[in-house]
Amino acid sequence: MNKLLTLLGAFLLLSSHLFAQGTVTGKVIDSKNGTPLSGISVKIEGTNLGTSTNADGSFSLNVADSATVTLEFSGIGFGFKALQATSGQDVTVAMVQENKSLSEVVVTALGIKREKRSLGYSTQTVGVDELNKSGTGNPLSELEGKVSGLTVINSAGDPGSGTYIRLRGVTSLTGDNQPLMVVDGVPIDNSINNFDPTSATPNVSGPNSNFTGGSQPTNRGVDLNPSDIESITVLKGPAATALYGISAASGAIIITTKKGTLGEGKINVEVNSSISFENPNQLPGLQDQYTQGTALDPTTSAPTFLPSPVWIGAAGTFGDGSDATSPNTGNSMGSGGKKLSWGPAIDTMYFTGVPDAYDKNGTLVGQSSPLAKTKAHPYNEYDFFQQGVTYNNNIALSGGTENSSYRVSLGNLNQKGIVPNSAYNKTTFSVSGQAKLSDRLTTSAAINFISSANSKVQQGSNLSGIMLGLVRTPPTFDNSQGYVMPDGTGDQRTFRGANGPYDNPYWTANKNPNTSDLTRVFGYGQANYQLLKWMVLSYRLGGDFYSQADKLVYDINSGSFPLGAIYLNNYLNKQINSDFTINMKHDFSHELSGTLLLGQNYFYNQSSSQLASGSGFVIPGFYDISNATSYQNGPNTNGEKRTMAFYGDAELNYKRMVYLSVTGREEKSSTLPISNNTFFYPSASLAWVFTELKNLKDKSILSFGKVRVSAAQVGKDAPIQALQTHYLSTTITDGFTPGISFPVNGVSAYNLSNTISVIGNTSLKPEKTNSYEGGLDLGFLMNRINFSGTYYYEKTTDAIFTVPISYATGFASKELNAGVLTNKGVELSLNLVPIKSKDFQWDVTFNWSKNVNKVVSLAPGVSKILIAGFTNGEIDAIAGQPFGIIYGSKYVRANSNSNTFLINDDATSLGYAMPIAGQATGQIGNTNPKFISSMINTLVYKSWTLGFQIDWRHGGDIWNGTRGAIDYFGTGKATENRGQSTVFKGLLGHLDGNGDVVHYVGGVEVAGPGAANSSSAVYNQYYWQNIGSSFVGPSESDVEDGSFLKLRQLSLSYNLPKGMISHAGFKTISLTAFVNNIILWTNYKGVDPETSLAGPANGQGLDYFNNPATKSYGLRLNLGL
Amino acid sequence: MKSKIFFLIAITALIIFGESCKKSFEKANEDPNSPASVTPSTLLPTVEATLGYTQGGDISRFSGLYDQQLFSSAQQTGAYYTYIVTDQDFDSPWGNMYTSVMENDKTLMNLADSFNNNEYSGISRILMAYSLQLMVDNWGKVPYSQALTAVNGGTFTPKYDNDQALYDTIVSLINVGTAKLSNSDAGGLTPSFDDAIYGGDESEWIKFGHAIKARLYIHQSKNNAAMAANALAQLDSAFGSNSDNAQYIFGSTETSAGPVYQFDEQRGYIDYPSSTMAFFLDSLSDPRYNIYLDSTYSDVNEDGIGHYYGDDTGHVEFITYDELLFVKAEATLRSTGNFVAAQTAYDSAIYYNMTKLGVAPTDIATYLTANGTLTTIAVDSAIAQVAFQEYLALYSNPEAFTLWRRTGSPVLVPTSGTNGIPRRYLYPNSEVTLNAANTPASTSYTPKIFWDN
Repeated sequence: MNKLLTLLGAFLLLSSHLFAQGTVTGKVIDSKNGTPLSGISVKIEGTNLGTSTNADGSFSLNVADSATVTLEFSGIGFGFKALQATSGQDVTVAMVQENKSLSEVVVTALGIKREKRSLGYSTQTVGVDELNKSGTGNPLSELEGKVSGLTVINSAGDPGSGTYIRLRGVTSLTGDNQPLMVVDGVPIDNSINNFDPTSATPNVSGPNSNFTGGSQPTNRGVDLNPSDIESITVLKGPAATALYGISAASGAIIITTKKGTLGEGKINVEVNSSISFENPNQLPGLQDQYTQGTALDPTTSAPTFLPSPVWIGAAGTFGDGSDATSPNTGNSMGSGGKKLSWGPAIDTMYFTGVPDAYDKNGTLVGQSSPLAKTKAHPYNEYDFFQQGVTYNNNIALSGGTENSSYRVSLGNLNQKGIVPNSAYNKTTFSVSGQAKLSDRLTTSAAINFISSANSKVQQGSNLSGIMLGLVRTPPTFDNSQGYVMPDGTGDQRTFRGANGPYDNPYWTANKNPNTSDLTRVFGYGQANYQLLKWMVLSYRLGGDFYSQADKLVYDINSGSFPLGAIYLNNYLNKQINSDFTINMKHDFSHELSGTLLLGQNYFYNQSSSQLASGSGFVIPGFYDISNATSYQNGPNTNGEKRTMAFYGDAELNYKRMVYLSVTGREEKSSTLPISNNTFFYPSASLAWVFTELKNLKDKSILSFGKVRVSAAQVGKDAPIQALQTHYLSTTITDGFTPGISFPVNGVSAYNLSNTISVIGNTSLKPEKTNSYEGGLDLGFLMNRINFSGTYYYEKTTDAIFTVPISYATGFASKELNAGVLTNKGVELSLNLVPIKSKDFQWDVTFNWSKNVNKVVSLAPGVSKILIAGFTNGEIDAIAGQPFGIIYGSKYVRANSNSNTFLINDDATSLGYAMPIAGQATGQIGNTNPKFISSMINTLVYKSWTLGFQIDWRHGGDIWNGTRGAIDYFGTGKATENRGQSTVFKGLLGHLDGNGDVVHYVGGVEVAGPGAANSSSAVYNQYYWQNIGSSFVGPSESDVEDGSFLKLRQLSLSYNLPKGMISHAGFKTISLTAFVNNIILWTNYKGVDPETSLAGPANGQGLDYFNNPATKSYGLRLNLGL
Repeated sequence: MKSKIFFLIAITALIIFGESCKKSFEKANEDPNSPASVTPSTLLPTVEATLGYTQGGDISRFSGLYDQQLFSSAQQTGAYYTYIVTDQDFDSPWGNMYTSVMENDKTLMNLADSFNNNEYSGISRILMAYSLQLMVDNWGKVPYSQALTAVNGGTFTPKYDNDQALYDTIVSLINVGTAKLSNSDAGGLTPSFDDAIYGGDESEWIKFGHAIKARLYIHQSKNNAAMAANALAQLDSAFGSNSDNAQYIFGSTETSAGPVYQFDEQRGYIDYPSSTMAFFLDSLSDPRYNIYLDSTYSDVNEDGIGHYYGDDTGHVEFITYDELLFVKAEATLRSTGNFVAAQTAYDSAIYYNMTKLGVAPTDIATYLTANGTLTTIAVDSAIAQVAFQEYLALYSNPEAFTLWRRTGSPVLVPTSGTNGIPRRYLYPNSEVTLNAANTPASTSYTPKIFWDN
């Protein structure tokens, strides 16, 4: 801000021509190569008199005749230099380019520009070069690994899917924990709007949503086009964001878009195009040795769990051998056998060679069957995935005259996903401009249009989920041989016979279209008025409006809705933000200067969703609501929120050495009770650049050093409409079915309560987070080595959350101010330039961060709350533990205080000599990583640039429900050990009727566990279905470590030499080859461990038929004209 | 000039937002999708449908898997069948009963009482009585006296009431309810189409009240002839034909279809024809085999449940006339010992059950010839025979689980382990974690309900 004011002041001065006694003229050049530097501020020490250099680096200043003055030069990226000059003198000043990370000007809260050295809190900026590396066109996923303390999780490789971002730790139990997104000073919406008719709570959008099925939810932050972004500054903690108020209690992502520059007078053209190809990067392991089927009891034909499979019928035949039409769908086995892959070994089986609806090779029979013809072989279910391709094309024109500038850009991202028919097509168009209307009045404005169409992919716990149907398919069934039965009925062809109920993934891809069309406009207009030399008034009005139209269709014979169903959901979001600010500056002496900002903010948000659904299609394949035989409107939602605030920010700068900043904001929010809706929060920060001390200054070893401390208190308001208890149109669901929603049989009804309803609370008060932060920034060896370290401690009290209460109260929960959470952590970044020569430079940056979160307390009597998941794999907040605990059932332990398993000593039990699945539930994993870190390398050799980034996440458990399910069904790789025997470690015993541990001594139950187990057990179907997997057995069995080391990015660029291209009119031509996610080292056995079933919602750490992530390789061309 | 434009814009904007702010701050937080108040006619359908859905879904499933009317070897229900259950598995039925059914019913009761809408007041009490009976019979001690009060500032941790005492509470709910129903002309609004069970016929609701009481007394009648006599007395005022049956029939759309249909459509883990009950029916050549079970029914119910219970518009039965006839037979045997009267009741119980299900009259006659006569005058054996036939008649009704627990008929072999067949449901995880101080400590399914002796 200082700089801006200085510049504005300088303009004023130039135009006024007040003191024309004498001049000092000069030129400012870059010390490195002598090129003239424009825009360098030149100021006469101790005065407000100054100017800035022209395009050719020259300047001229009026001074008193024959006076000697001290000129102070400063400029972005060039630090500070002082020089004495006398009237009439012509000076040449060589400025030293500073290491950019220390001298850069960063955009802070409300768009205020500050020199990074002056900040008393932690920020990190990601520049234009870093934002277009992956070719995904998703600005949020581009941030992965680039900012310490920032967690970025791409939910899946689905086109247009969401990206979860979080700074530091969770501060809000059930509210939003994603940072505020601000574009050019205007907050924009990053919410999740999703409808999932296959979940128990289909229409709960937002941060606390528990989406377990449907399609991958998207957060609207992915709409931006990274090609339009100049930089992203991440304001990590409350001290940095206190000026934003409630909306930025979880930090802020400050996005600055590219603009045309004043004074160039010519048109710049910027073109960048990339093409990349994607494939799944990791998939759950599947077995390819055993057929569909189950072990049958030879006497009753009922499915049983015999230690070794016995197959009924003639020796060696499969099933009863008599069902020639579809025996390899297991029709003779009842539903229990059809869905399973616990049949005989494939290499003992033969095809009959008579094609049928289920297999072109014919039915499977045993080798002794007279029908046996050719040896059976498994199919590769993963052939389903196709190669995705992404085209990303952007063109921008920019230019400017002395008084105005503009930039126009057009971008298109066209993505074809790895799942057939999945796609994402995003077109962005933006126009921005600024005009200096007079010496006092400058204006600027920008408007962005976004139109996107997304064909989404069904996922998760959903009969139509791609992965659910795919990985449950026995290796002896080939989904690709058709998804419609060839008999003309229109029935679905699945491995369980006609019409599933697990959808053939090809069916889902073709018959369950799920589209999301977005139209969005956001932008701002701003005017700055220089009222006095030391006072600028600014007004900025911004808006963000979008409409998202989703259409979900389940054609007739789809697993989820066999009669056919259609859901049309329209989301509208409007938000308006108004800021009026007064910026003042004053130099108290030549050593002490200050700025003061006063402002008023008004914010308004209105959002709605309108749902219309129909079911019971008449015509297959006709996806219009008119095709339905019953209709329903709603449930609809409408929400509104207003806030109004006054704020102030005062900064004192002593000798560019000590900076003190104090802010305060008083805010009023409509979501709180009228009597208690206004609250104040302050922040203070201090930065001391101790290398400005006389005897430390200009030392080459420690070239820069800063200590910073800050404290802040921020608040959060309540969720909208949390004060009342609502009557709503009646719905009921249970753990297995979508349930009913009124009207039923033509009668409408309302309910006050159901299993998700909340008692409103008219005495809510704001939730508060106190935050303390300290840090150290150091630069060594003329800033060849830069280090930045931050420690923070945050404590949230009166956390507003939906407190679960005993259902016997009649309700599921009540809104309360109850919880206490703490976060403490360390964020480190180290930037090195190990090699720097004329032709070769190597830059390497390490980021490392660790956050320790603790849910100190929930509400009285509440020990845990559900964040997301299933009964066998919950993500919870548990008092005394970090947020994001995996909770579920456990193996029975021999003693309450030991971790030794009890091994079943009941010889009559099918689970004899195996661990025992317990009824009791408890904590079984922690989704929080121990630390996350990254290493980013850039090596430049002449015109070549090689870049690569390695990310390392250590720790962070994931509930791998996918593995649990496929091990249950017998398709999991682990189940290839079937038939092998093992001796489980533990003490012998079992639970008696009272649930107490006992063991047998001569057939009599004796209290407590017995001796160590030495009996062997067989890894059989019973084991995998009931003991070894969490599908039915203990949830504990599928908690896995999600640590990974990943080569996130590798790219090689070549800049064509200027001499070669300039005669063709090009300023730059560069060609880049890149790969993403190409190498992944992890012990995690599912898809890429960077995965999230709930998408960008709070409940991270669940994998239940999550769609895979992708690796990609591609080429990019950048042209500058 | 330009500066004036700037101020004009800024000040106008401030005024617009500042003013609109003041007016709209209070209104902003209102939910336009939620009515400020409701009428009894919009609450009654909620209570009936959610009761029907919860009983017909979760509760019938657990009971049916325990009493072996159902069979499953697959997934969660396969685990339940072999008694691998966790407390979390019971959150859904418990939660739906307290929130969707009983809390809304209590809201209905308070609303109807405040406007002296006697018929709604009465119906809400009968429905509360039935719901509470369902809770007590499956869990034993449950919260009631302090339950359902949180919305009005009551406790978050309601204490558990003694199960035997709750039976008295149920009786008094019915007594007040039937009194209000008898005086229904005195009070304002009356239900009609919003009452999916009886279409607003208060005399039917009174009969339903007596039917519930008959159930309560027969539950306590083992070794207690007086209770059997109480049951008999109630039967005189209870149902007199199949048209009196208390039942709920769901709709034919995806969002109004019945719970059995939805479960089979979405999950399909239950293998109906493999149940112990199916073997019983098969061994008796029972004509109901092809009604309960329908192997040709391949639309979505690949595992073969029949239309009567398995359709989207399938029946969820609360109490039916045929059940009361079985109660009559049993109560007669236990109290007066009038064997002839018991025989008549037994015979007609089977008859009315089969008639209800649409069994052809000739098949009924054949079946009654073979199975319609009590084969012994020994009371215990005769009761076992009555209970066995009642078990076959109570398909899909959780009362069958109660029947088996209190009579031991039919004889069932535990599917797994040495702890026997469960005698009750587990207290749900939500209670164990959120109402720990009050929730009975046992996490086991073996302790018995008070009448289970």
